[in-house]
Amino acid sequence: MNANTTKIVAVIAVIVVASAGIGTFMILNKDKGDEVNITAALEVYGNANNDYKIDESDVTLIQKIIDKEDGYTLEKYPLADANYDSVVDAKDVEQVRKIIAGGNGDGTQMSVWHINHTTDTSINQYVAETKWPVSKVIGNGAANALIIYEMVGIRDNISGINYSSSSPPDSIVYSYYSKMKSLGTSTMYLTEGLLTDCVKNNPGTTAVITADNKGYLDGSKGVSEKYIEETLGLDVIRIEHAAVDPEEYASAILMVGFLFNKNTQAYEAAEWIQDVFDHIEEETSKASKKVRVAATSYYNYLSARNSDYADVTVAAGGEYTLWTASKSSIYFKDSGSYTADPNILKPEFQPDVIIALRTGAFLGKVSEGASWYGNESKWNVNTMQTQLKNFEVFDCYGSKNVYTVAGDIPIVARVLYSAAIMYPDLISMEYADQMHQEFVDKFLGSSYNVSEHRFVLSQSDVESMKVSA
Amino acid sequence: MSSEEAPLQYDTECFREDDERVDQYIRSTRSKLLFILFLTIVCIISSLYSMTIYGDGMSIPRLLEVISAHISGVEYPRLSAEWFEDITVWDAAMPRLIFTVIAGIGLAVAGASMQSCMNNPLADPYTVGVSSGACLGLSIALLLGFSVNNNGLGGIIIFAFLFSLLPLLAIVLLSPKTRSSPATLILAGVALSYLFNSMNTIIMVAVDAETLESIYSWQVGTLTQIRWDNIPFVLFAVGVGSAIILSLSKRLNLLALGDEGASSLGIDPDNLRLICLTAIAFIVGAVVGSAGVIGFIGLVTPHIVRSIIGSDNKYVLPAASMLGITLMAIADTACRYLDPYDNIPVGTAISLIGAPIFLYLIMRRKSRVW
Amino acid sequence: MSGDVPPEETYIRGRRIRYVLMMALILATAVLVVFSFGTGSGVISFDIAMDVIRERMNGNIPDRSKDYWAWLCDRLVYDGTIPRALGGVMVGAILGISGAVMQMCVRNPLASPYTTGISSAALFGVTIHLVLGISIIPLGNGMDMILNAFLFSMIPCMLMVFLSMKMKTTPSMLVLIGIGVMYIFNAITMMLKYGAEPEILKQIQMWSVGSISGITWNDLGYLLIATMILFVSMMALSGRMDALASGDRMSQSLGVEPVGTRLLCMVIISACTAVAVCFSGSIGFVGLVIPHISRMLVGSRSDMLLPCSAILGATLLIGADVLSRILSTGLPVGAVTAVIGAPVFLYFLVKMRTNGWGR
Repeated sequence: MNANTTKIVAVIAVIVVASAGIGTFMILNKDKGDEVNITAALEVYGNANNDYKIDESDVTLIQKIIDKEDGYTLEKYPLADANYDSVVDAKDVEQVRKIIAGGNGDGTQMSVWHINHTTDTSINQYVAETKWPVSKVIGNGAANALIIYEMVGIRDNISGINYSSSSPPDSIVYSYYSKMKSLGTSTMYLTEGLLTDCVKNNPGTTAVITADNKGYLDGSKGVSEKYIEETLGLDVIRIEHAAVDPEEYASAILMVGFLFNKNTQAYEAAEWIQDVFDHIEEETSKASKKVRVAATSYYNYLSARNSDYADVTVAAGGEYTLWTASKSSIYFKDSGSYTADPNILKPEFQPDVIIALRTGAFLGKVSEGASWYGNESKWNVNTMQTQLKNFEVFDCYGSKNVYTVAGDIPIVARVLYSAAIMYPDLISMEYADQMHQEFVDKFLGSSYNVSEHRFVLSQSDVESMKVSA
Repeated sequence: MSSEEAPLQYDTECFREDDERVDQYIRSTRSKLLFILFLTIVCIISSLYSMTIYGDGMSIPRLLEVISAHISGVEYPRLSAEWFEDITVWDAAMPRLIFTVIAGIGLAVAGASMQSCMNNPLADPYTVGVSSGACLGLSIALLLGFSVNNNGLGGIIIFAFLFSLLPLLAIVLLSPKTRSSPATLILAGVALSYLFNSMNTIIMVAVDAETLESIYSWQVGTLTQIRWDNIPFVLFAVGVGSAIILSLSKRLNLLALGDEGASSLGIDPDNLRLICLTAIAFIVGAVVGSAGVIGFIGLVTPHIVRSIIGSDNKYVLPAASMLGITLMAIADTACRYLDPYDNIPVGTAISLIGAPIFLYLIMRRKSRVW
Repeated sequence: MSGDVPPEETYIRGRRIRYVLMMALILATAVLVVFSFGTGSGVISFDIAMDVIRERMNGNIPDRSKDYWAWLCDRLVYDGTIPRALGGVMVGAILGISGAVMQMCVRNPLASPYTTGISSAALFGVTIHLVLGISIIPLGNGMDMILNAFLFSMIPCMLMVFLSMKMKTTPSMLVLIGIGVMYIFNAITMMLKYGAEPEILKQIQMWSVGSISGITWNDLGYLLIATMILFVSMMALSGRMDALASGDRMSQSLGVEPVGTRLLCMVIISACTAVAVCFSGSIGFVGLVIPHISRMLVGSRSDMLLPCSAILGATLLIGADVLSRILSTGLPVGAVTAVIGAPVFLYFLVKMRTNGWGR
C-alpha cells in the first residue's frame, strides 16, 4: 500500500478506538449517574414527578400537563402546581426554571411552596410558603434535629437553637451547638424576647425550623406558630426529625438540603441512610422466624405501636407485639398511681425480646468489666439494676432478653443495634459498630470513636455491674 | 330674754355640729377619692415600668415615643432595630400590659363583690373553686383540638367560661339564707376544687405527655402567651361584668345587713346574688381562659383597701381595681426580671404572696368572727 | 295503749339493728375484697386468684424457672392484688374514721381529713423528690418519697398545735389555717411543676388524685399500725368527742376541756391520715361523704358512728377500686371516688341549705 492509504487507515483506527473509548466511558458514567438511588420524594411544589429533586424532567412533565396530554393531570401529579395557585400553566414552568437556576438571580429570596408535616391528626400535613433559598434559621427541636443539620451541613446557617436546661445538647457530639444559648425553656417553646433578640442579632434569619409534633410552637407557653408567621414575618418549616421509616427520614433530609441549597450533601446522606436500611431489611428478611419485640423508654411501661420507639424496632426487622393505644405508653407495673393495663401480660402479647432505649447515658466511658457511668444522677448502678428488675414479670426476663440501648445516638445507630440484638446471626454487632462509626465520620461534624464507648448493655451486663471504685 | 337667747345658742351649736359632720363627711369622701387617685397614679407608673423590662430594656420616655409613633402609623423597614423595638413594644408588651390592666380590674372586682355577695370575707374566685372549673374547661377544649394555631383561641376561652359556671352553680345552691360560718363556704370551695381537679386528671390521664404539658402550661397562670388575639373577648367579658357589678355597688352594700335586712330595704337578695355571680363567672372565665389560674388578687386587694377607706363598695371597687392592676404589674415585672426566659408564672408568684396573706388575715381577725 | 312500745325496747332493738347493719357491711366489704383479688390484670381471674391462695396455704411457692405462668399468677395475686386490697381496706377505714372525727371536732359538716392541709404538704414532699431529687432523709430505697411526704405532712399539724398554744383558736379557725397552709404548699408545688418534664408531671398529677395500686406487703405494716392506733384512740375518746360536738361551753360543763381534746384528736387524725396519704396519695371525698352516710344509717353517737364510718370507708374504697379496674385502665381510684362522691356531696349540700347550716 502507498503512504497515503496507511495514513488514512491509521486515522480511521484512531477515530474508531477513540469513539469506542469515549462511548464506553459515557456508558459507564451513565450507569454511575443512575446509581444515585433515592426513592424518597422531595416534597416541594414544582417536583412534579415526585422524585428526589427538581430538574428539567419536572419541566417536561408540567408541559405535558399544560398540553393536556393523556394521563397527565394535576390530580395525578399534585406537586406540578409549582406556585400553588391551583392551576398548571406557564407560570409553574417559570417557577421551576427559577428554582433550577437557584433563585431570583439577584440575591433576593423567592417564594417556594412545600409540605409541612404535623402530628395533629386532624391536619396531618399542610402547605407552607417559604422564602428561598434559606440562609439563616432558628432551629427548634431536640437532638434529632441537630443530627439532620449536621448531615446536611448547615451548621453555619443556624442562628440559634432551644433546649431545656435539664437536657442540653451533648457537649461531645454536639459541641458546636452546646455552646449556644437556648432561646426557650425547652425544646418545645421559644420565648418571645429571646427569639426577637436572636433574629435581631442575626440579620438574614428568615425562618424557624421545627419538628412535626403539634405541641411545638402551639402557643401554650411562649410564641405560637401563628405569631411567628404573622407578626414576626418568619416562615415556619416543619419536618419529621424523628422519622424512622427510611423514606420519611430521607424526605426530611432532602427537604432541608433543598431549602438551604445544599443538595449534594443531602443526596449523599439520604442515599447512605437508604442503603443501610435496605441492607438491614434484606438481611433480616432471611430469618426463618421474625423476632417478637417490644420497646420502651422507661422502666414501668412499654411503648405502644404508635410510638417512635416501636418504629425503631420494626425498622430493625422485629414484629411488634403490642397494639396501638390512645397514648404511646402501656403500663405493666402498678407503681404509685399507675395501674397496669390488664392485657399486657397475656401470652399473645409477650415479646421474645425487650429493648429499652434509655436516654441520658450517652457516651459513658467504660473501663474493663466495671461500671457504666455517664450522667451520674440518672445512671448510677443501683438505679439501673433496680429498674431492670421491674421487667421480671415478663417471660423474656427469665431468658435474659432485656437489652438496654443508649437512646441519644442517631436513629440509624439505634436501628442498627436493635437489629444486631434481635438477629445476631444476620446483623453482627461489629457491623452495627462499623456503620455507626461511618455515620459519625461522614455526617457528624464532631467525631467520636464508637469503640471507646458502649451503647448496648445486655441483661447480664447490667446485673453484673459493680459500682466503680 | 335670756331664755330666748339660750335656745338660739343651742340651736346654732347643733347646726355647727351638723356642719362639722357634713364637713367631716365631705373631707372623708375627698380623702377616699384622693386615695383612689393616688392608687391610680401608682398603678400607671408600675404598668409603664413593667413594659420597660423587655429584651434589652428601654426607658419610659423612649417607650412612650415608640407607642405614639406606632399609633401615628409610622412604619419601619423590616428587621431594622426600630422595627424590632416596635414589634416588641406593640405586639408583645402592649397586649400583655392591657391584659394586666383588664385582669387586675376584673379579678379585684370579682373578689370584692363576691365577698359582699356571700357575706364572707374569704371569698374569692379561687377559693370558691371557680378557677378549677375554668381549668377543666381548658382541658376539654385542648383535648378537642382547639389551638391558637388553628384559630381556636375563641373556642378555648368560651369553654373555660362555660365550665367556670359549674362551680358557681353549686355555690348558688349553697347560697345561705342565714348568716353562717365563712369557713363553710371555703370548705365547699375546696371540695369543688378537688372534684374538678379529679375530672381534670381523668382527662390528663387519657392524653400523651406532650399534650399534657400543653394543657398544664395553659392552666398555670402566666402571661407569656398573651397576644392581641386574646384581648377582645377578655375586654368584653371583664368590661361588661365589671360594669354590671359597679352599677350594683350600692345595693351590694346592703347585703351586709343580712338577707332579711336587705329585703326589708327593697332588694331581692337572691336575685342580686345571681346577677352578681353570673357577672363574676363571666369575668373569671375569660381571665382564666386566657391566662390560667391567677388567684388571691380578689382576696387580698379588697381587704387592704377596706382597711384604709372602709367598706363602702362605691369606693372599694375602684380602689381595689387600681390596687389589683398594680399588684399584677409588679408581680409580672418581678417575674420577668428574675427570669429572662419568662419561666416563672405570674400566678405562682401571686399565690406565694397571697397565701401567707390569707393565713395572716385569718389569724388577725377576732375569733368570734369565724 | 296498743302500739306503745316501751322506750328501752326501742332502744335495744335500735342498737341490735345497727349491729346487724354493721355486720352486714363488714360481710359486704369482705366479699368485695375477695372479689378484688381476681381483678386487675387480664391474666388473672377469680379462679386463678383462688388457686394461688390455695397453693400458698399449702406452702407451695412456684418456681419461675419451672413454670413461668404459675409464678406470674402468684406474683400478680400474692404480691399485687392481695396487699392492694388489704391496704385499701385500711386506707378506707382511716379516711372514714378521720372524716367522722374531724367533722365532730370542728363542728363543720364539710370538713374532711385533708382539710388540715395534709395532702398538699405530702404532695409537696413528693414533688420535690420527683422534680428536684431531694430526699429529706435519704434511705436509698423506695421509701424516700414516702418519707418525704410524711415529714412534710406533719408541718400543718405542728402549725396547728403551735398556733393553738399562742392564741385562742376556734374550730373554724383551725380549718381555715389548714386551708391557708394548703394554698401555700399548692403555690410552691405549682412553681416546681412548671419546669418539670412531662413524664414527671404526669406522675405528680396522678399522685395528687390518689390510688391504692402501689401498696405492697411492706407498706401494710405501717398502715396496720396507723389504723389500730387511730381506731383504739378514737374509740377511747369517743365519749369526749360527743361532748365536743355539742359546743365548747356545753362540753366544758360536761367536764371535757374543748381546746385540748380537739387538738389531741386533730393531731392523731393528722398523723394517721398522713400515713395513709403517703401510700395512697390523696383520695378525696371518702372522708367527706362517708360520715354523712354513716350518720344516716346508725345515728350520731360516736361509739356507733366511728366503727360504721371505718367499715363504710373501706367498702367505698374497695368498691371504687374494683370499679376503676373493671371500667378502664390507668384510672386512679381517686378519680372514681370523686365522680361517685361528688353527687353525694352535692346532695348533702342542698339538704344542708334547707336545714340551715354552720354555727
